[in-house]
Amino acid sequence: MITSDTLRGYNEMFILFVLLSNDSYGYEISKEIERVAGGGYTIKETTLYSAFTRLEANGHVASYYGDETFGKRRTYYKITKEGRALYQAKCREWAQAKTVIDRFVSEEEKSNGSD
Amino acid sequence: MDLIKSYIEALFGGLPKTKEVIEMKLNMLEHLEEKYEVLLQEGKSEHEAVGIVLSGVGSVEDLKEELGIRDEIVPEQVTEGLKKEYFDFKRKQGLFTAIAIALFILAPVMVILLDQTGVRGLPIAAFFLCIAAGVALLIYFGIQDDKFKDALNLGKEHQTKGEAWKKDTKYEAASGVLWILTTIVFLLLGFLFGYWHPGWIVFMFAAAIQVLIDYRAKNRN
Repeated sequence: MITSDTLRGYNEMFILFVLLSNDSYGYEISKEIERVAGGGYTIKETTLYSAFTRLEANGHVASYYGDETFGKRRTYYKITKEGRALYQAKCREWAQAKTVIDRFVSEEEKSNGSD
Repeated sequence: MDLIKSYIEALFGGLPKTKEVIEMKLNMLEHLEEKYEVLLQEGKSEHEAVGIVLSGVGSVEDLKEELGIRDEIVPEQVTEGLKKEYFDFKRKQGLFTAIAIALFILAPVMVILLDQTGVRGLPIAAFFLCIAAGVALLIYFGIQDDKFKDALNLGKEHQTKGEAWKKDTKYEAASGVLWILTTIVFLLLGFLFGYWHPGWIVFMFAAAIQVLIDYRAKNRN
């Protein structure tokens, strides 16, 4: 299981990705991230809510209260124009990082290290 | 569910109670509640569900990094500046403590030297002037030191250390008594027996004892 330390800086990208298609709230976003990751990654709640705070403070998402259902008032998040730009920048950043890091991956060592 | 609530309360316990933090806590609680209920619906036992929920929460470090650091930048800088000032002050305090002790030793020497001038009252006046100047220096730097300690919250730390702090004040009291006693002994020797010289040597002994007291006080801490 990959830890959030490895993915430092990409949790925001995951959240923004989920919000690209529609507005959502905390629990639903974490479920969606888990689903898209294919079981390889679960976002910790502290990581998730820290990211929300950061994203909102920087104007990448906007929050609003949803309708009350069963006495619960959920905070919904909506991606902003700046958020979309950040998502795109993150995608480009990852493409570059991937190219560089791949150069340091030794196929031989990778298979040796599995035992 | 109560267990999850108290866990979150504890997690947020050390954080500043800003609107941002409270909002975050409420959102997170609601999130965890939903997660818990879904797990129960999936057929997990209550214990299992609580375990799964709590193990996924993450560490308070994530929160602190996001909230704490941003909130603490200003006070931390202030503290750094203060610490530097306090460090400089400590060096000055050491120097002036030495000067104060030198004044205590000088006091009787003045008496002997000025005694030869034959001016009545001058030796005693000089003697008390030296002692008063020394005491004033010690008191001034003592008060300044307390102020710094208060500002840096060192005082509180000392108090929680309890015994160490008590011993500190014990040693301070001991050295205060030492110098007063020495002065009394010197005055008695002088006025009653006329031994101004070599009576002044008692101050040398006192200085030696002071060094011993300081040494013990440091080693105890």
